[in-house]
Amino acid sequence: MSGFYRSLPEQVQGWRKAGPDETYDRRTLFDYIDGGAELYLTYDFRNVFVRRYQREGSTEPEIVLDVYDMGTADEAFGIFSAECEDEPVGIGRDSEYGGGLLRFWKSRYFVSLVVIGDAREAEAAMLELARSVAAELPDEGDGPRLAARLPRAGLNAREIRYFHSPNVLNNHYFLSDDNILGIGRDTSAILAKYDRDGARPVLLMVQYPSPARAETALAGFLKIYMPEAGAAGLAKLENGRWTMARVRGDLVTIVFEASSAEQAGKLLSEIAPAGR
Amino acid sequence: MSGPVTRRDFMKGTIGVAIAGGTAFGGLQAPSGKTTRVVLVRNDRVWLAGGALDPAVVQGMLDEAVMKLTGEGDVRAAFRHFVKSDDVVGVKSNVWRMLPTPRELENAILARVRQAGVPAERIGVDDRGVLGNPLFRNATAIINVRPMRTHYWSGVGGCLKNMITFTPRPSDYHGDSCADMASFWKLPLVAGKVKLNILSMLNPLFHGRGPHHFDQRYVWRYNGLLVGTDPVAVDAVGLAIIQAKRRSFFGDERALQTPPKHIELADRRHGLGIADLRRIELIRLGSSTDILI
Repeated sequence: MSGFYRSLPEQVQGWRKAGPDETYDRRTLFDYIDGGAELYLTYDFRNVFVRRYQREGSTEPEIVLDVYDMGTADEAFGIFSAECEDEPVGIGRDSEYGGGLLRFWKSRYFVSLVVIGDAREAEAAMLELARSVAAELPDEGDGPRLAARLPRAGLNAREIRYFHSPNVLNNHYFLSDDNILGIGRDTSAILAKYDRDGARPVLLMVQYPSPARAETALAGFLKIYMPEAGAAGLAKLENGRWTMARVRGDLVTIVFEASSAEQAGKLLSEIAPAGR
Repeated sequence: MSGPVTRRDFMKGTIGVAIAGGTAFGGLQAPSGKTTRVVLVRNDRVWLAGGALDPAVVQGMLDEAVMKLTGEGDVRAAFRHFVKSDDVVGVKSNVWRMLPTPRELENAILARVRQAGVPAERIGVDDRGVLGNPLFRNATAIINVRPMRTHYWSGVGGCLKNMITFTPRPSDYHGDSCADMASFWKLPLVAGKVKLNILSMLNPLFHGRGPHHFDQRYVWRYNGLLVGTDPVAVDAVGLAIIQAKRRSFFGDERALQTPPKHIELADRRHGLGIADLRRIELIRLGSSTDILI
C-alpha cells in the first residue's frame, strides 16, 4: 500500500476507522462489489482501497470510503461521468452528492463514499472526509481529449459521458439491444446532450483503433439503424427528429434528435479537430 | 422480429413494453400452454413507526400468500406443500448489506417450517456460505427468499439470481449480462430442490448508482411480498413492478442499466419457468394503493 493511503484520515467528526483496510484488484473486485464491478472492468481499473468508518459504540450507520485507481485521469473522469446525475459539491475535479452517495474524481482516482444507514447522520462527516481525501490526491490530468473536442454552445456539462461499453450508452441513450457500433475496451466514446433552439440534440463520438474499423462501424450502424440514410448519412426518423452520421479518420460522429438537418450538420461541423 | 431491437422500433411502436419486461397482464389473448400462479400480498401497516418491520404483520402476509398459493385454509397444511417433516430445509437468504433479506421475513419462514414438523436442527439459513454448509449440501428442500433490486450487470436481482452462491465462481455466469443465470438452477445442489420462492417487495431498490449500485433515494416502500413456486414467474412480476415504478418516478421509459434478459431466457432458452405475464395468474391480496400492476 502506498504512502498516499497511509495519509488518509483515521477519524473525522467523531467517526473512526472501523476494521482493517482492504484492497482489491481487477481479479478480486467481484469479491468486494456485488452489483457494479463489471462497469469498473470496462474501464482501466487498477485497484481499490477500502476503509470503513463508524461512530464509537455503534455499527450503523457506517461510511464506506472507496478510492479507485483508474490508471489515468481519462478513466477516472469516465467512471465518474457514467453515473453522474446530482449537483456538484466542489470536491476534486468534479463531484456530486445525493441519496447518501458522494462521488468525485481527481487525477487518476475516482472516489466514492456511501453511507449504510441513515444518510442524514453522516452527511457532514462524509463531506469533510471527501475533502480530506481530495487534498491528499495529486492534481494531474484534465480528462479525455475527446471531451475537449465537443462543441460548447448549448452543451449540458452534467450530461457528458465517457465510456468503453455499449451498456453505458444505452443507459443514457438507448440505441439498440445489440452492440451495433462495436463499442468495446479498444474504443473510446463520448455521449453529450445539448439544449439548442428548443431542441435537445444528442452527440455521440466513437474513436476506433483505426480508420478502417471506424468505416466498418459506420457502415454497420447505417445498415441496421437507418438504411434509408444514403451517402449523406442523414435521415428523418419516425419521431420527426433528424439523425446524421459521419466518419472522419478513426472517428465516427452521430447526431440524434436534431430538430432539422441543418441543426444536425451544424453540430457535427463544430466538433473541434484532433490535437487542438 | 429478426435482428437487433433499436430505438427506432420503439418509435414505430413495434416493441412496446415487451422489451422492458414482458407483456402486460390481460388485454391480449394468452397463448395456450402451461400457466403458473404468483401471489402478491401487500400491507401498508408492515412498517413500525421507528422504521423497523412489524414481525406479526410480516408473518400474516406470508401466511396469507402461501395459503392462497396452495388453496389451503390452514397455514400448516399450506407449508406442507413445500416441506415435509423428514426434509432437510435450507432457507436461501441474501445478506447484501445495503438491502438484505429482512430478518423478520426469515423468522416468519422458519416459524412455519418448524410448524410443518421439521426439527430445528434440520433447518438452516445461509447465503454466501451455502457451498460449505453441510446442511445446504444435504438439503432436500430449499426456500428461496430475497429482496428485489436493480443490478448493474443483470438488470435486476431477484429469485433467479439468488442461487448464484451455489456456484464456485459467480463471475463465470456474468457473460452476456448474466443471460444464462438459469443454468445454475441445474446444479445438483439446486435442481428440483427449490420448493418456494419469496421475493421481498417490502422496500425494493428501483434504481442504483455508484460502485455498490445503491442510492437511498431509490428505495421505496412497496409493502409487498411476491410468492410462487416458479422463480421465473415471480421475477417477471417483480420486474414489471420495478419497471412501472421507474416510469412513474422518472416520467419516461428509462431503460435499466442492463436489459434483464436472463428472466425471459430462463423461460425460452432454459425452460425453467414462465416469463410471459399473460401466462401468469397473478393473485393480488391486501392493499391496492399504488400497486403499479
